[in-house]
Amino acid sequence: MTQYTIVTDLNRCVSCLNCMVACKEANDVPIGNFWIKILRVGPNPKFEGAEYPDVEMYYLPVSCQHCKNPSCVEVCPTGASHKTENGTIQVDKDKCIGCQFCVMACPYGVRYLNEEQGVVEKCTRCYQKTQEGELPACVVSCGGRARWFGDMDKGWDDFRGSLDANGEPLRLTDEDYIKPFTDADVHSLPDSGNHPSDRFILRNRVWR
Amino acid sequence: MEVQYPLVFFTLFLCLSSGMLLFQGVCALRGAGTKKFHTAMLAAELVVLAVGGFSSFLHLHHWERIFNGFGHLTSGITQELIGIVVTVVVLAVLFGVLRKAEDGERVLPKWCGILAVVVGVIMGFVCAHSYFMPARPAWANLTLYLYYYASELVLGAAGTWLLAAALHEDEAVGALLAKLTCVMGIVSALAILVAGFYWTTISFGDVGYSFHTTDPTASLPDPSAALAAPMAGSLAGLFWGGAVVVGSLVAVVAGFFGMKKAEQALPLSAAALVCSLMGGVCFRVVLYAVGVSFYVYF
Amino acid sequence: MLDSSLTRRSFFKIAAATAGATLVASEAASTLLESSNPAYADAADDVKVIHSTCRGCGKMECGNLVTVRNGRVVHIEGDHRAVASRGNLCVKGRAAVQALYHPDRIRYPLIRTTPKGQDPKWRRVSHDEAIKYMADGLNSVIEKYGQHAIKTLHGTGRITTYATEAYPTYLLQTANTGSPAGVICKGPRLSAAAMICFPGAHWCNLIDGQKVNFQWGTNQEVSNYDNSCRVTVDEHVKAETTICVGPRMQNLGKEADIWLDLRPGTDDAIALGLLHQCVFNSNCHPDMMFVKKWTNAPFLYCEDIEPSGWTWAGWGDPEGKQEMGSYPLNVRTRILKESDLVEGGDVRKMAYWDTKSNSLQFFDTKKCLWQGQTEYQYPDRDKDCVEYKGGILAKDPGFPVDIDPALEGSFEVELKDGRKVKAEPVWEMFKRHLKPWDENHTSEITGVAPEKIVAAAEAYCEEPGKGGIVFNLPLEHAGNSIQTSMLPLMLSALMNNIDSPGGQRGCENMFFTMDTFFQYHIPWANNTLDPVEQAKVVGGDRFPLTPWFQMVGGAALYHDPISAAEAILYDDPYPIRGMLSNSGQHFNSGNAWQNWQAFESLDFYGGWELWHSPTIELADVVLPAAHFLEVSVLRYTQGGEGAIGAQVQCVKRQGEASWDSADICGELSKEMGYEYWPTQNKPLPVWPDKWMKPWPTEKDMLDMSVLPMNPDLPFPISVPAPDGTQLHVKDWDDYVAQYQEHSQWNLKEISPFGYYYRFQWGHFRPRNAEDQNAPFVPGFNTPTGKFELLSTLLESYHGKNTKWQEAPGSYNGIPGYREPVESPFSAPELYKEYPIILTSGRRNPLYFHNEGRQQPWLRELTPCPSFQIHPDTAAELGIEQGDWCWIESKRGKIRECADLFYGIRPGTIECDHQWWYPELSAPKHGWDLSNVNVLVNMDHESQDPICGTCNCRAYLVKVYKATPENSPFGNPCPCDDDGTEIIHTATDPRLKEWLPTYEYEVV
Repeated sequence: MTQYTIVTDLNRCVSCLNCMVACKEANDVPIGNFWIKILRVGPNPKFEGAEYPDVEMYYLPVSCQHCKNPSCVEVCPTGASHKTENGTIQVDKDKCIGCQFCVMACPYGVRYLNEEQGVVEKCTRCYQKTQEGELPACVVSCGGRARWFGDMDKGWDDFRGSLDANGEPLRLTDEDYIKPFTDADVHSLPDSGNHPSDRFILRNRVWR
Repeated sequence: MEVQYPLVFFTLFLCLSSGMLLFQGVCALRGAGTKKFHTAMLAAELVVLAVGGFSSFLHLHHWERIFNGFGHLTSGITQELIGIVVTVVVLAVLFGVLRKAEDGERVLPKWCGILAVVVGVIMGFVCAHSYFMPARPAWANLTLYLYYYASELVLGAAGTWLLAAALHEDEAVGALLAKLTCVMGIVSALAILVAGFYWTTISFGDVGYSFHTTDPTASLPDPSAALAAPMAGSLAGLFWGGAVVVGSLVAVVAGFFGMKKAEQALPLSAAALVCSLMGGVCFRVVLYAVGVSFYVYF
Repeated sequence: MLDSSLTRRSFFKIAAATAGATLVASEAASTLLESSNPAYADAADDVKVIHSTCRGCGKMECGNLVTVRNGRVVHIEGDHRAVASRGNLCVKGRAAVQALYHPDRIRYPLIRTTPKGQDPKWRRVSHDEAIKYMADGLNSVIEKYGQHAIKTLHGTGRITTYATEAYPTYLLQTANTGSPAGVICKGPRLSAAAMICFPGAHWCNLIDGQKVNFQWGTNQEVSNYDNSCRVTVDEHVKAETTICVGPRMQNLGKEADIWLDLRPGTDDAIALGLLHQCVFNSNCHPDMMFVKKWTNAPFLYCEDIEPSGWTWAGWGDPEGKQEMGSYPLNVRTRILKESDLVEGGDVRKMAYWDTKSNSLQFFDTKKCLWQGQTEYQYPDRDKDCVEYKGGILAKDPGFPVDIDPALEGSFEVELKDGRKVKAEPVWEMFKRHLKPWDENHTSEITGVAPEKIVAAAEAYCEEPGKGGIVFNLPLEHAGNSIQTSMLPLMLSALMNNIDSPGGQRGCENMFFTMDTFFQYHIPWANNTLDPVEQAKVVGGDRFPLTPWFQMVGGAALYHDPISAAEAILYDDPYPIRGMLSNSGQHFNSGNAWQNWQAFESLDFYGGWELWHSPTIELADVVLPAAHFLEVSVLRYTQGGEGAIGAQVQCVKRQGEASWDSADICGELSKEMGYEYWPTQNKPLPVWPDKWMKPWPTEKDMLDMSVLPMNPDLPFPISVPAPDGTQLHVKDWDDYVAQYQEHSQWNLKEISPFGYYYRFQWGHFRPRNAEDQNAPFVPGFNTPTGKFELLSTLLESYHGKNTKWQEAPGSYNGIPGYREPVESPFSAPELYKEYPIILTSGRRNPLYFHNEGRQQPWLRELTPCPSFQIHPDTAAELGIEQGDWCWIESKRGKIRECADLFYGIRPGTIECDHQWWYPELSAPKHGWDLSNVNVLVNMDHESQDPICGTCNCRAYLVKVYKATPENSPFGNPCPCDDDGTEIIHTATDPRLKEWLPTYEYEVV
């Protein structure tokens, strides 16, 4: 099995917004719509009763989570939204009737109706690039080298990120770039039964 | 979530149509109703279904592609379409039976009544089920079924009563339907209240303070306030005034008086139907407003 | 699965596919420039990837790869080989195509047809007519009012526009030159550092790594200010300890180990507190060898003598010379000199007490020699040096003669008049000055918990060499810019991080690295102004060092905008009636309303711009500037990463746009009757005549910029790397061709930047240009030849009993603390009415100051301005997330929307800066609705007393919710004069009207 996944090291994400613009360019996303958005979580008090400056914060880049049990696919009447062999969820625009039930069914609000085309769109995980062996735009462009792409079924060793000076993608296992983390530091977005596949690494603070 | 009016009217008319079919079945089981009445009922159900179907098409952006692979069975829309096809088939069957029937006797056999009731019950489920989405906690619970059934029942009873009154059906039939309208109004009001109350008990995950760079003028998400808004908040007017009073209690009162004053059946049943339609719209609008995402930040 | 990275072939496939969809609307045939440069994509159906350098912001040198298809830029990405940026390319650089092809770009010369203050109703004219109009306008002002009646307005410098900044000095001979934005950003840092060590010392090298990553008032991870986001995050993560200083939790600051959350405007206080720890805390171990040998700490100071001195940085004197020239300064110090003790003694010889011989000795500050020293001491390449990350790292070999200068004690000396006086080392005074700043006192002033101050100091000062301190403009904004900017450098110096790996390496303004090339394309042969004329700069009466600062280079080429506005409005001290602007806004420094009214009243105002931004709508004539993707120029990191590269013209210029700096300035000077590069002034007598061209072409200028790299020079100009390596290029085209192959060069490999601690090697002082055999002189280019803990220039001009204001809080030239002029403590009455402290200038990655508001990919990501406020403060004021609010100071009020941010001090707000609304109508384009400079001070008291920086942060405001009742048009949302709302959502349809156009309207 293959499960293409993006892992974001939230301790390295500084909200440079590169992923948002690189995505727009790579995928011709209409103005006013986004395939990836960054939520600033906090600052919040570090613990109950804590006050400024005892606060903590992180930035959360959210795009389609390419769920294992995708609600969007379940509600799609035409099979336009479907799960592919590499574990990603894709929308076949020729089949989409624009009913937007998938938009309603997605817990993460990552789908929208492309008004001009009358079909629903979302992150394809840069399908046009990944099928050529390249990395998604949000991964290569990431200013803080926070985003990593790989096959979760193969484990952390498979994950690659932004390019090094020789043009080779860095590895998530390179501790010069990715500080050690434990299983407890690895999180996913809240699950309403859809089983999101993307993962977020967050050390030293409360995942909210 | 933004209100999807085509879907509001689709489910409204679907409930009306299948509710009428259901009560037509009830009449048939009791041997009530003339051939004319039953024929008119079938015609009305078909027309209302068509209006609802048309409304749903307005929601689609590429309805022409509906034949491109339509039929993904887990999809609520597919289930609804199947349900509509089944309904149409049943209507045709009933029509066929009716054509052979003679007035003055039981115009529809019992199995027809059972068939109509079963289809009506299934359609209520199908209608609710397509909106049962774990991503939207206000929808992903039993109250959704409760409400859509309540909506189907009050609309169906009032619609059936109106047609009976308009066609000057037997006073007993009228009184029965008035009584059903009255009872269904109570059921509707209770279902709405149960739903409204239940929403206030839903809890959401909370990330504390948050900010979306793309939307600096947005207020902090407050799902609990959104879900409390119908009972006591910005949606109280729509909820209490629209859905409960106009949408349910008018039917109760009309039905109550209609049981005794047969001569007022037409205006009373008309009022009951119009008001429960209005209430149905109100409540569906409320449903979208409380349909906030499970992960409210996106 | 991903064994190969981006392959070229597949990249093109994708680029072509996506570009076809997004950018290339129609395939109009496009021919390219006359230039022979092979990098240009000039054939039809051609796709080329050009290695260039981004100029999406004003600062960072990010190498980029520009994909050009059929003569159009279709894609830009970062160059992973670029040593300074490591493949980084921020949103501004990515979205540059949306500026290049923006429908609203100015593409033709325009002359106004209506009175100023109204929509100018621009009329298109020919290029020649516009040049003539501008020349006549400027000449008539000069004829009537003299040379200084012209001032410049410039925003953050871009290398491509440097000539524009400097041009008026060179050619029009006005002292009111440069970028007034420099006075509020970077100029004070350069100026302060020039006073005590070397200009640019605030820039750190991060690519060599740091043990402690010390970010002070920065937001580099989103501003990319001289260290790119990627490098900043890389090195922050790799560092052992990270320290962040600032009143709000910053993007990367969220990861800091120690956060010094100071009250806005108390950076000087926290610096003094950290210095106190460094000096007095036994867990801190400053590098005392550096202190003794390289600072003026051992020099004896005597309060009982009259200050005396000499004229330093005299005309033609290499000593004291700065990047752009010299300006004579009168050093007057109470440091004990030979001339104080002995009749006929040398005023340049400064006294210290040698504990080994137990005697008074002298250091010759002119020759930089200790007593008894006859030859310069350089580290031994074999004994003292190791290679470190491609550079030569020397350990200090110690004193060249057998001495040990005393830092402590008090010494009785006999003056030449026979008086016996006490003198003490500067170090004693320095310690006395720091003594009160223990953690508790510092905490009381700054609001930072005492234990955090101690922890930060102990982490940074545990041992010398943990890395430099990256500090940025917040230190300049609270009315004490020069002194505050000196203090972190002193802390860094005590810990031996001056020019260390990861330390304060400077770059652009440094001798010998600068000689790798010429000043970009600026007329290098020009002298600057006669010092008598230069002293006439507006504000010079209050800020006597300004003319010298103007020599320091870069952003220090400024004049005081508040004084300039007064000269325009009140003819005080003389009238300024004309202005030249280039990407400058009236709201970049000083009070925006005062500047607007001033500029509106000018007799003549001409400029060149990309956009119809507000200020240019007051102009008489505007010429279209070329976009950076349309201009070639040499590129060089101003900051500490030390890289050199090229910006390569990728596409043909649109309409009649021209390279403002080279073309417009050249043509304008010709039309005005000046030589652009005056042929009478050769930089050296041996300079060949063929290099003296009065009106050089663009190609001439580009060739000239790389001339020092030419191997066939009749005499050497550039100094090689430690191993002798130099970059050799024939001409500009050759340089570009080599750049395509190599990407950025690390200056360590091709210039003396390859030495760390260049003060040991003599690379921090200029050398006699006439004598190629002159030795390199170790030391610093300051009056004492030392890193000055006691700034003799501060003492001379802003010390006790000088003609000018004494530097607040200073102690005989040792910098001190100044409470912000409007603060709860300094202005308690005002505080009652304006109970919120405002700070400003947090960086948004999308916008470089006022830029980018009309690029859809940027604007949709932050459609409108917000201010950060602590939720408790917001609750007290009845403000909720997203509410439009009024922010009001004594000077004016603006609206921004509230962002409830727990990471900011209660009672403090942080406002977005530099907003205007391109969607609103001319002439104002809504600049007065949300621009924070509407609120800033224009009085003299709140300015920095040394250079005039206006008080941009840490002043008092009140904040209240905007309601229909208190807002124009009954609309809390800011509106145009006709009630049209600004764009405040990503879905506003006006954003789509700004998408690229390839068939722009020919006006």
